[in-house]
Amino acid sequence: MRTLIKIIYIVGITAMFAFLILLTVFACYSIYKPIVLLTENNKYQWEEREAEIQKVELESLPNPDMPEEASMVFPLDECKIQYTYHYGGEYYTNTLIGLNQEKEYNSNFHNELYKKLKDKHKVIVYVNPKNPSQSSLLKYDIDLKDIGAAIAFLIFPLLLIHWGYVGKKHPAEYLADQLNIIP
Amino acid sequence: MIITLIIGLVTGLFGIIIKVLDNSAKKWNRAIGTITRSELIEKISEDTDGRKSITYKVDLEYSYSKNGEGKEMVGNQLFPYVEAWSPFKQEKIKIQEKLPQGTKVEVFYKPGNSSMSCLIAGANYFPYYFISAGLFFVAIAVVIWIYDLSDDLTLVLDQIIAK
Repeated sequence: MRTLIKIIYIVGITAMFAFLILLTVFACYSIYKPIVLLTENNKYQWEEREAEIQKVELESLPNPDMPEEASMVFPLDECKIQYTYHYGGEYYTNTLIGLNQEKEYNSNFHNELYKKLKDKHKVIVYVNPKNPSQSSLLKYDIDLKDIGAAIAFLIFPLLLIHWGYVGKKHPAEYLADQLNIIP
Repeated sequence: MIITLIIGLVTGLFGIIIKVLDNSAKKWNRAIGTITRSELIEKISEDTDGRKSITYKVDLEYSYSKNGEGKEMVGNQLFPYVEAWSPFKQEKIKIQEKLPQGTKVEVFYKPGNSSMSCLIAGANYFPYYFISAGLFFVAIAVVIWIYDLSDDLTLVLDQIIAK
């Protein structure tokens, strides 16, 4: 019976340990995604420039989630922009907004973006100094859900590690040793 | 989110306050007391699903007198301010073994209110569990807040500066 309890204890501890490692791996992966986004093409070094808006349009695209015959009944709106900026003595034209491809931007967002840009003449863009033809309206478009997921995955292992540490630091005789017995 | 945050803050603050009070008891006056009762008692609690949990406590009683003279007082606290129920049976057995009836032991009593006393001051580690549990709930509230925030697309729109 004692051996069985010991085996169950060891299996339980191993499973818990494996679960904690798995959660930590998920947390690292979740935090890795925004780090990649922040550091790709040295984005933190991209320089701010004022660009002239050449064209802003709201395009209606067929909705891929609908049957073909109904795809234009509920179309997806997408704001398209073309802008020109001056960098290092040369003029460049680009269309990139810089939206995170992993995030879902619905027609409502693109409508709002269109409304924001349609009457404007200039817009701030971020230019890659190493490749000035590369630019975007958004410097970073992090998916906050990745950061939320990283915290969510990490808090449980951290809690258990802390509780384990407190338990280890205060063994069964700890409190008894704090009693000052007068001989 | 608000409820989770409140649970976290209340739990964390409870732990911090208990730890601060516990540490402040180290400055209390000291006297020599005598153990008059020392028994291990257990409490069985049952949750709504019928799961039972057992917690233990050393039921103590000791007598002491202020400055070793005058009126004799009776105390029953291991820690200042809080009761010492816990699921760790071995820990309680060790305490009980060290405090058989008739044992002389150092007693801490509050300067201004000598009826308030304890046997262990500044060593209660249970508040650490409450503090980390409080931080756990605060972190969950932060996660919920981040998820709510990520649905707010105006944050992205506000980053685009048009003139």
